Amino acid sequence: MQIFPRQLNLLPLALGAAALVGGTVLVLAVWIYAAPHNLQVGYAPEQPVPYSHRLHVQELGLDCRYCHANVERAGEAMVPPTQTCMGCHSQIRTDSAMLQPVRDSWETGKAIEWVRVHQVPDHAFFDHSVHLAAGVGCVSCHGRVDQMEVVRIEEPLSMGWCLDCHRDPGPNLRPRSEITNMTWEPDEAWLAQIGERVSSLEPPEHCSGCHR
Amino acid sequence: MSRRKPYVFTESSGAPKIWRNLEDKDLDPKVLQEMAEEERPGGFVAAAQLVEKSRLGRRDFLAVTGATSAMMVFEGCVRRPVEPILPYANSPEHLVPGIPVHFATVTQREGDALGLLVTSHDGRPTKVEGNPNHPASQGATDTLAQILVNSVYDPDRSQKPAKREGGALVDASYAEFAKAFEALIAEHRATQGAGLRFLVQPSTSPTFHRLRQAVRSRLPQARFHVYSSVNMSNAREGARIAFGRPHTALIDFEKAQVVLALDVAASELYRDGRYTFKKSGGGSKDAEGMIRLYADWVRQYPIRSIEDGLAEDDWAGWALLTRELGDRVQLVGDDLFVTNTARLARGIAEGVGNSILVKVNQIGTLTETLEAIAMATAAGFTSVISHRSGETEDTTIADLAVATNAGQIKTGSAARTDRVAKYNQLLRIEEALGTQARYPGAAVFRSRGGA
Repeated sequence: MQIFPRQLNLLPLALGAAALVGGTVLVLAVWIYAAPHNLQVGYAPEQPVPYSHRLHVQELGLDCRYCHANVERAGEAMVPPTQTCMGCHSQIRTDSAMLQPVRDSWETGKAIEWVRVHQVPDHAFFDHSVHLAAGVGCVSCHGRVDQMEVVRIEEPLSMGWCLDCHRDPGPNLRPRSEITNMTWEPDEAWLAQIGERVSSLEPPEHCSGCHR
Repeated sequence: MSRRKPYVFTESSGAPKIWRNLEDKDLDPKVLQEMAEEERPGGFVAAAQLVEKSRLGRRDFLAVTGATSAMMVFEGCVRRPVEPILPYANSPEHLVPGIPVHFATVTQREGDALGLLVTSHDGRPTKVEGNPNHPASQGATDTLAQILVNSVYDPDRSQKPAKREGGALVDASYAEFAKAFEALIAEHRATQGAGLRFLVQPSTSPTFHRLRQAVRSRLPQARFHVYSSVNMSNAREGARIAFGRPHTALIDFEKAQVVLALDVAASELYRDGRYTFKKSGGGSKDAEGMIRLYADWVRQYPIRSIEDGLAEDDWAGWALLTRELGDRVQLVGDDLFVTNTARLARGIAEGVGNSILVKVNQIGTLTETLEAIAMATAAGFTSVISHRSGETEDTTIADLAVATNAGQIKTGSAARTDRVAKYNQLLRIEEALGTQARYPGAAVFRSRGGA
């Protein structure tokens, strides 16, 4: 008795082909979409206080280290204590509604719950101070924060991206005096000594350099 | 829907009872049947009759958890979990998050201060060490000082007030505590503190003294009792008898006028890797045990030199001995080096000993003797020029000791003429040198680095 029509003999072949194509598409889709340059870049969560880096840095001219004061000394760049905000805002815009969480924090002693934007996984050891001491500028990893109303991720922060710079740090180095300068461009005097700087650095490329 | 067959627990007479687990075996079959019904999706028992925990059947539970974890994985791929950053509202001074702070402080020890160095991570002490600059402790701590980190922060301690209700402790609020405490104080204030007694540790703290004065002025009838289960009162009483005042002894062996130098000749005790005390009860120690014994003695007595502290073939033990005591004590090799430059070279290379006993006729010639001394000096070793047991009145080694700047001679006590002859020769040399003569005294032991 013939249950299935003859045309269905091709079904396994068609299914196999479909599985092959579908599988490839699926792998490629995950490969391309589910990668840090897609998932990390552009993340810009809403913060409890709509702090504008553009206003404070570009227009008012604050140095990064006025708030992120420990960045040259510690692994964490640190988000400033409420105290730092109140240094100015006890005098300026004292009745702004946007600053209400800051004043609440100052009065109650409870922390403002900022949302972490740049996050390196726990299994990767990253230390800000070392990178600044080597001469990597803020802008190399964080992008033009001075133009951001809301902080967003500009670089993938992936392992491949880290290693690109560890293998060839030259283009991302600058004099230590220009670390926080968002618009610095290398001049000839710097380009003349960059080779020497690079050869003295030797950023780790072995696993335990970061995965300690 | 369900492919599972219902459990049947009815007992068939005669057949052995079949059970899958102890619950099946021991429970009443009727109860078991009910439980099986409850568990079965769309079972015969209406939902309203089910106990709370079984409303969600096993299969539903698995389906829900499976779907949840799948969604969590998907969520994790798409966007990271939101992580808050909680900075201080008012940051403590000098605190850099993530960078440990080290500071010097003191703790009380029997009415005395013990100098400490504390490492603190983000305001939480993590390690206590002795302060080497503190005159009393000189860098030492004890177990009580080490555990101080727990007295400052111990996660196992109760985090909030508790009160007793019946036989048990239940959590209470700080407000409740304050209320109860104030009531207690008011009660004692009414009687001026009569019957109120404080049990305190011995303390020289000015803060404690001030607080005690404050308590006494308000509650004049209250009594303070000072007690410590372990204390130094005996030592203090001894000092009072000896000096008239209860001084605390601080021993500085650097200033000792008479020091001890031991010649252990440990090779004689050494057998099969252990040191056996044949004449003192037959006990035995390994090299580490011997080193511990020496370390204990060095702590208690003015021992400045130990000769042949371990056996001549126990190189590993010697290396350990030198590591442990080499910075404090002169460790002389006699049987170990036998004034032999080959053995001395090995000793220098392996960090064994820090001094060589030189016996002229042990190596043979004066030239070789001088070579051995030069080699020892170059390596920072001290040299001790020695006589042999059963000597003549020959005094060459006295001249040799001065000429090589060895600074040390070993020629026995001032008894028997062969020994006295050497001391007499030393006196003659001193007369001949006149003002050029220099007697290093205890400094001779320190010729090697910090030793």
